[in-house]
This record gives sequence, C-alpha cells and structure tokens, in this order.
Amino acid sequence: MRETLERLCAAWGPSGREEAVAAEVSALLGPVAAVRTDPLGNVIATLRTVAGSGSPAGVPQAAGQGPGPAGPRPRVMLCAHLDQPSLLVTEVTRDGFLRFSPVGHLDPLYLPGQRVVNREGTVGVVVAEDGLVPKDLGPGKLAIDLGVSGREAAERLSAVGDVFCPAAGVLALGDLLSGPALDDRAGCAVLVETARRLVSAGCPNPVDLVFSVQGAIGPRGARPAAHGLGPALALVVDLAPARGVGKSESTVEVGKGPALRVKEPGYVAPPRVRQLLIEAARAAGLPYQVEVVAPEAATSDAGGVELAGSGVVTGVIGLPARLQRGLTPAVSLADLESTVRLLVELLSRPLDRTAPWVTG
Amino acid sequence: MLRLDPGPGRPPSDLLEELTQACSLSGDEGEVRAVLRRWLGGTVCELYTDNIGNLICRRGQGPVRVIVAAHMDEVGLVVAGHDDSGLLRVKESGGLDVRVLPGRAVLVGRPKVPGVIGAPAVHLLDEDEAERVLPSRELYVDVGARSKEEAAEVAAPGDPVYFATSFERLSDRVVKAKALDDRVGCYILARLLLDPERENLTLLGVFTVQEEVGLRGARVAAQHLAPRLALAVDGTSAADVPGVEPPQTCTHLGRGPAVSLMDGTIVMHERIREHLVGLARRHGVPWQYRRLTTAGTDAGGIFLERTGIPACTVAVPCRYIHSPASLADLDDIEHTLTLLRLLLDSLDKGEFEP
Amino acid sequence: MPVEVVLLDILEFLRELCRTAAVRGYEEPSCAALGRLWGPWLDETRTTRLGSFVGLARGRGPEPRPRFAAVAHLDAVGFVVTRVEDGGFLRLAKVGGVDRRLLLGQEVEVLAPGGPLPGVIGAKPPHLSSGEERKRVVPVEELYVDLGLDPAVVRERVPPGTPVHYRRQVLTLRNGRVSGTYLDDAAGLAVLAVALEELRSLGHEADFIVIGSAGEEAGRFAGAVTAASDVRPHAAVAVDVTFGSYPGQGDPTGTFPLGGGPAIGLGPNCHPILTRLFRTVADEAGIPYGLEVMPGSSGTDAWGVQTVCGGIPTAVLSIPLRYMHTPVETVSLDDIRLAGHLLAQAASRVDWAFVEGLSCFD
Repeated sequence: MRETLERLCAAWGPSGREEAVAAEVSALLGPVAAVRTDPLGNVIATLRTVAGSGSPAGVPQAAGQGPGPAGPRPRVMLCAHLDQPSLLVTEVTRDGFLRFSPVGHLDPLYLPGQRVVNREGTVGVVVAEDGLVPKDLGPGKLAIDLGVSGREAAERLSAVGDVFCPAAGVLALGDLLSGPALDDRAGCAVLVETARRLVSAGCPNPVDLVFSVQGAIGPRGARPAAHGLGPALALVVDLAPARGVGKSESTVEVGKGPALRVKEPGYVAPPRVRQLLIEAARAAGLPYQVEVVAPEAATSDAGGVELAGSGVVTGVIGLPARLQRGLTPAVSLADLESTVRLLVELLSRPLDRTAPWVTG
Repeated sequence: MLRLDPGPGRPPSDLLEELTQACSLSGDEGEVRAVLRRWLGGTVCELYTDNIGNLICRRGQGPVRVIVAAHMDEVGLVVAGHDDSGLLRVKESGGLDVRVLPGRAVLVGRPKVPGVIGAPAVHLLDEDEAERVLPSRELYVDVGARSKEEAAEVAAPGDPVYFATSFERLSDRVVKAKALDDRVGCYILARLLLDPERENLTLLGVFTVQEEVGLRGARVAAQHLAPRLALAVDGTSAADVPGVEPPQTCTHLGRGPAVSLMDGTIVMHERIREHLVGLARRHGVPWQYRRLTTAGTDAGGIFLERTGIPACTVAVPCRYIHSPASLADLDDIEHTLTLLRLLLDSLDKGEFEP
Repeated sequence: MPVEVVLLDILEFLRELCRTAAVRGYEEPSCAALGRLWGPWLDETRTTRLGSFVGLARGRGPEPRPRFAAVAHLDAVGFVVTRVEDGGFLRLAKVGGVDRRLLLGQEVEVLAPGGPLPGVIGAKPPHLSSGEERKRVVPVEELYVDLGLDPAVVRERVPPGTPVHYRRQVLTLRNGRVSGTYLDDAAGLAVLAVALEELRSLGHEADFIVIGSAGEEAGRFAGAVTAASDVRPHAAVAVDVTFGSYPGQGDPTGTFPLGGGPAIGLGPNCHPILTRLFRTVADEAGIPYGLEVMPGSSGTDAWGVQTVCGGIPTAVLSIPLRYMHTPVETVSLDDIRLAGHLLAQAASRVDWAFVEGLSCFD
C-alpha cells in the first residue's frame, strides 16, 4: 500500500484539474474493476467481483432504485476525493510576483515558505509581504515568488488562472508518513487496496468506487456520481484531524485505528452505520475510535452523497492525521491498513438485504 | 445603439432599458417574464414556465442540448409590516449592500408607489451613532402615510420595494441602471435566442428565478432539461476604482467579457473555460479573467444535478453591483454576446466536446 | 366534533411525540409513535432509508391521482457526548441550533445504549467565577453533564457520540396553552394529525401524504429532500413553528401572537398559487392567520423540497411558538387545531386542474 500511496501522492491534482490523479487511479484499478470517467471528471469503478461483474458499469441507475441490475444485493459505494488543496493565481504583479486565492482549506499560517509547483513543473515559494505582522496575516498578504523579476519574466512561467499545489512527495516522519496530498490520496489508496483484496478474496456484494472531484472544497462531485449509481449504502473515506500539541478539540489519535465519524457541518452519521462498522471492526479484531465532531475544514463528501436520489445511508471513516492544519498531513500506515481490513471484513460477507437501510 | 427590431407592427424600444426598468425580486419575477414574453413569444420559440417559475425558450432540435442561463431576479427589499406611525418596515431580499440604503428613493409594490428610505437626522446623533451602518431592521420606507391603516392600504406584507433608478446613457459606451446584474445576461440571452437555429444544437435558453437566494431556479431547470453542458451569463463585480489593486478589482469595465475561473460554488469546467479563451483570442474578441473566487452563479447550481453537467460562467463587468445604480459598458455586453455565439457555433460544428 | 375531544387528542399526541423526540439519527421511536398515532387514518406506511416516516391517505379520485404532501420534522435539537472527563463528567457538542443561554443548570437525559440516564448541566460555580465570567453566556465547550455516577461506570455506559437531550416534560398552562420540550416540531406533527382526521370525513380526491422528516435541524433537510424524491408529490407544504410574540423579541413583523392562528409564509419558498389556495381557504372558512414574510430561506423542509424532482411547488404553514429551542417551548392548542383545519380544507381542494395550474406563472 505504501507504493500505491506514493504513486498517488506524486500526481498533481488540484480541485477542478484532477486528470493526472484520475489517470493514476484508473491505471491502478484496471486489473480489478471496470473503470470510467463521468462528465465532471469523477472516476467511477465497478469491482469485477462475482456480484459486480454482471452489471455494465456506465449505465446510470434511475434515481431511487436501490438494488442494482447486478442482482438482489444492495449496492455499496466507497468514496474518496481526488483533488488536493491548491493556490489559484489571480494576478501577476508588476514586479513579477503571483497573487493568489486558496482553493480548499489552506491555513495561511502555514503558507509562507511553502514550496509550490504548477502543472508544468514551475517551482515557486510562498512569501509574505515585507513588514507583515502576524495579526494581519491572510491570503491577500501573501504571494508566490518564482525567482524572477518583472511581470514579463513571470508571465513566461505562469499566468492568471494558473494553479499551484504544494510540492509533491511523501516524507517518512517517525512512525508516520507525511505529505501535502495525503488529503485525500490516503483515502484513495485505501480504496484501491480494498478493491484489490475484495476482488482477489471474492466479494458477494456489488461495490462501486467513486473518486470524486472538487471534494477538497466541500461535498461536490460525489453527489452526481452517487445519483447515477443508486447505492443503498455509501462509505466516505477522508482524513480526520488528530490531536496535536496543546489543547485540542479533537479526540482522535494517530495509530489508534480508523475514526468513525459522528458529525460534521451539515451531516450526522446514522447510528446504524456506525454500529455496522463497529461490529465489523470487532469481528476482525481491529482497532477503531470515534470522532464525534469534525471541524469545518474536514468536511467530507457525505453531506452530498446522502442526498442523492431517494437517499443513501452514508457513513464516514476518518483516517487520523496529524499536522492537517499544516500543509503536510501525516498519517499512520497502520491506520490505513486497519481501514482496508475493516472495509474488507464488512464487504466480503453478503450484506443483509432486509436491513432497514436497504429497504427504506 | 443597442436596438432590436422587434418585428412588424411593434413600436421600437430598447430591450436592455426595458429589462432594467422592470422590477423582479427573488420569487416574484413576473415583470421580467412579461418583458421577455413580449420580445420572444410568438416569433421565435416555444416559451413556457416550469414549477418554480423559470422561463424556458427552446430553439432548435439538434442532438447537443445546451443550457444558457441568465437570472431574472434582482436584489431589493420586501415589505415586512407597518409601523404605527405609517412607516413601512422592510427586510432584505438577496445580498444587498445595506450601506447604500439610507437616503434612497424607492418604488413600492406593483403600482410603484414612490417612497423614500430616510434615516435618523445626523444632527441628533452623537459621534459613534453617526458612524454606525444601519441594519435593514432599523430602516423604514416612508410613503407619506400617516397611520398604520393608511400604510396597509398602500402596501401589503410581502410586497416588493425597488430602487427608483432610471436607465441612463452616461456616455457612448457606459450605461447606468439598476439590476444590471443580471438584466445584461437576460438581454444577451434574448439576443442569442433571436439568432437562427443551429442545426446540431438544441439551445435551451433558461431565464432563471431565485438565483440571488441560492441558485435555485437553475438547479430545477437542469434537473428537468438534462443538458449536455451549461453556460451561465451573469453580471460580475468590477472594482476598477480608486484604492483597489488587482486582484481585488475583480474585473475591469471595458476590457471585455470576464471568463470565470471559480467561485464559491464551482470550479469552472476547465475545458469549456480554455475553449472560450481560445475562441476569444483567435477571433480578436477582448476578454479578461474574473479574479475573485467568491460569490456564486447559476453554473454552480447546475453542475451537480443529475449525473453531473459541465458548466462555466461568462460575466459582464458591472461597477457597484448589488447597489441601486450600477454601471456597465455596452461594448462589453456586445463582446460577451459575440463570444457566446462563437462558442455555440463551435459546438454546432462539432469542434468541441466538453 | 366537540372542541373538548379534539383538544384532548392533541394534548396526548403532543405528550407522546415530545417523549420520543430526539436528535438526528435517533428518530426511530418517533417513527414508531407516528405509526401508532397517525396509523388509524393511513392506508399505507413506511420508513425511508434516511429514517423519515411516510404515510399515505389514499384519495377518492380515479388513478392516477395527484399527490399532495405535508411535511413536519421528527428530529429535535440536542447534543452529543464528545468525551468523558476525569471524574465522570461528560463534554458536549451541539446538534442543531441549541439556545446556549439557558443550558446552565438544565436537567438532561443521556440516551445511553443501556437506557436513559438523568443528569444536570453544570459549569464552574458562580463564587469561583470572576465578575466578567458571570456576565457572559458559558460556551458549550465549558459546560459538562454531571450524572452523579462513578467515573468507571460512566465510561462503560456512555460511549462518545451518545445523544443528550433536555429532560422531557409537557405542562398545561392556562387558556389552552401547552409548554413542552421539543414542541418544535411535535406541534407540526400534531397539525398533520388534525388534518388527517378531518380529511377522513371531508373526503379528498388527491392522495394526501404525510411525512415525518428526519434530520431537519442538522443538515441540508436531507430527510425531507430524499423522502420527496421518493414520493414525488405534485405540491407540498411544510408545517413547522415560527416565533411567538414576546416582549423585547425585536421586530414585531416577524412574530405572531399565540392564539391568532397559524402563519402562512410569503416569499420565494412559497409558490404563489399554492399560497393563495391557503389564504383563500382560510378567508372562506373564517380561520384567522398571520402572514410571515421570508425573502430568503424559510428555514423549513420546504426550502429543500422545492428544488428537487424538477421543482416541487411548496408552501409554508407555521405554528407560533414562544421560547424556541428551549425546554419550555410554548404553543396554543387552538393554533394547532386551526392549522390542521386549514390544511385539511386546502388538501381537499387539490385536484388535477389545480396541479396543472401550478406551472402557469403569470
């Protein structure tokens, strides 16, 4: 899984320009799923399992119809977002600096000094205005320094409308792996690994994977994808901010297993889904923890997915991450592994067709 | 001069002026619908309204379905009740800039009864009070009524209150009016609909409702019209004024249509955006990027509907947007129309797949 | 029907729904209660995937029949436990718009998996707070629930994520007024009950569908939106609560006197023709009502329902309620009865001609 993670993190993919990441995901899943891309750029993969293989991936379901054409079992959707937070260039100054707007949650406290790179590989560093004092800090007081002088020189390398992402890479940090794109490539890696294991072990449930666009900004591309698939159950895998230094609102800790989320802005997890996950974790002897309230910056695709069609019972599995406020979230491979095992445990047994969340 | 020939037997008039003088708040877009029906109905297209009040005009029967959306609603105030003294209490409709309200002349209700929004006399206030921006719940509309009963005869709760701004040409190129956001879009869309049909396109002109309170009409239209892609034509802020540096200027008056990169509701579809810019460059149409990433347009309402619809916004720069008197450049409007025509032509010719 | 009998029915209904009301995710007991209480007037019932209750009172017209839905929400505001502190105290996070000003000292109920546990909300005692601290409202993060139990017992019985509610009570006050916990939106559900009962004898051509929606207070109206996507009504009305008049409440145009009848909504969320039906019916039947001007979101399920299924014409009917989101929400039973009567009369007039007219703007 580390290799998958590093490969996904190496791809450049800000919100709205996720093609490179989508291509990596499609390549990784080719052997185990029927993969397609929808009009918005979401990657949708239907697992080639006994249950899933009969259904033509790419046939949108009518909204509101639960069990799909593959058979009587309820469809399950796993979801992670492709995009990472980024900086959109809004002005090239006369002196050759780039003014920008952050896209997604990027704490300005951590931006100065950050190395960033655009699609073509042009490197820049984020700088604060000369004489800026901490209390005035905001994205409007920052710029990207490309190391050139004058507007003309800068416009040879970049332009208004260009996008920069923090420089790619995954760093080994103690027991953890840290890197700017881990939100949510870690989730994508978990989904890819889960897909591989489900297909090789055999999976009786029809499972679709959705790698969504613009998820770093809020619930976006995942909803129309869910609308087309018509799942009965959806599980979103995203990062959960873990306790750091000092007084923390979070009760989540790295290394203690996947964090089952209760609440985030605009969404509350159905208790029955959390129960389903807790039972699967216990059955497989896996660690898990409960994340009661996720902050605004950690909002996942769940609030959008559950609204699709006649409703989708949706849960969120958080991958504990330190340094998430900083631009280089750090996760534990062990937590990722536990999450994969949890999903495999849950989905490798036939899901109860008569469960209330299926029949409605 | 922006004049359309409305056809034989009809008096000539300026569509943009008529549109800006019409008064339509969110949820109450009847007057603009009526103006558009007069100009478009019977001659060009099948016109109908849907369950939320969008006015839809279909032009052509080709296989590629394209929505072009412009919103009919403007920001303003709504009568909330009557004070014992005969003044009207009001609430905001849409994202109004409350700083511009005191000292305004307004028009109340369908009959357009004249009124004013005053403010407590500054002579009677102490220093901090004189510095305070008055929220709308402390503002009243005075129609000259002397009692609660008389006020109730003039206006009922829910009645709209509009700015009494007249349409004026300030120069050869610049016009002043209320509601240029988004009557400029409605004007451009109307002209697009008056173009000849394009063989491979079904052009779905949607004059949307309730954009200012959450892009609501656009969402509904996308659901039942099922387009392949969508363009929103809107007004956007131009702050090319003293004391403002780019990128806060957002757009510049006179520099052409503003192609949006992203806003608070959508990162614009990259391929549509790049194609628009490419067309503008190739055909010598002036253009600019919209530099702000906040606010929202109908594209944001449309793209997440059904199984996803690629969408992008092209905007006309308007100074003092969401205040009673805004300005726009007629050349910007004409160039925006040209750019959209180029896009539709290239879709028609199969030169572009979203 | 004698007024006294209707009043007693409504009071028992309210007691039952106030007793089962819970935060989003825990609506099952309320669904079960609705099954029992609305059941006698319904031909079919079911629960949706997201936990909303849907009931059908079949119309008399030939198939296919138009569908008219009325929605009131099942869920309530409350809290969840974030963690158990040393000493066995529970820390809380809000679910929905809880009124922070009156949490201190409130009696609560912790819905632990093994059974409800009573507790009290506490904070640092006043004599240990500075003068400044005593003047401000205590933020939720500084409050805790004291169960009076051994810390080990608390840790075992109260996992993080456990919901916490105000201790439920229903009191009858003078003049047919009732004060109860979670009358928002038990009052709305009661209006639907009154309407169902009257429609039985009144008769109706269209199918009348009642929806007890899940999750209105904490989300994007997910329960109502998805139920509507399923039911696909041709028109819908949300029945919720609005602000009852009270001294010092501020803008008098936004509040309504208890006993003055329901408030009919005006604004973008309130389809003009559907709203006019309610006003006409009220005028003809002599039902008093107020007009609630809402230039933006109505803050009710109608806001979500209006923009799905290609657009559903919606209206908003509200019961004046004092002390919203506190444990002592107060309404007038007369208003509930009047609103139910209005709803029944309006529903009985919905037929295909009416439905077809709904897309004729201007």
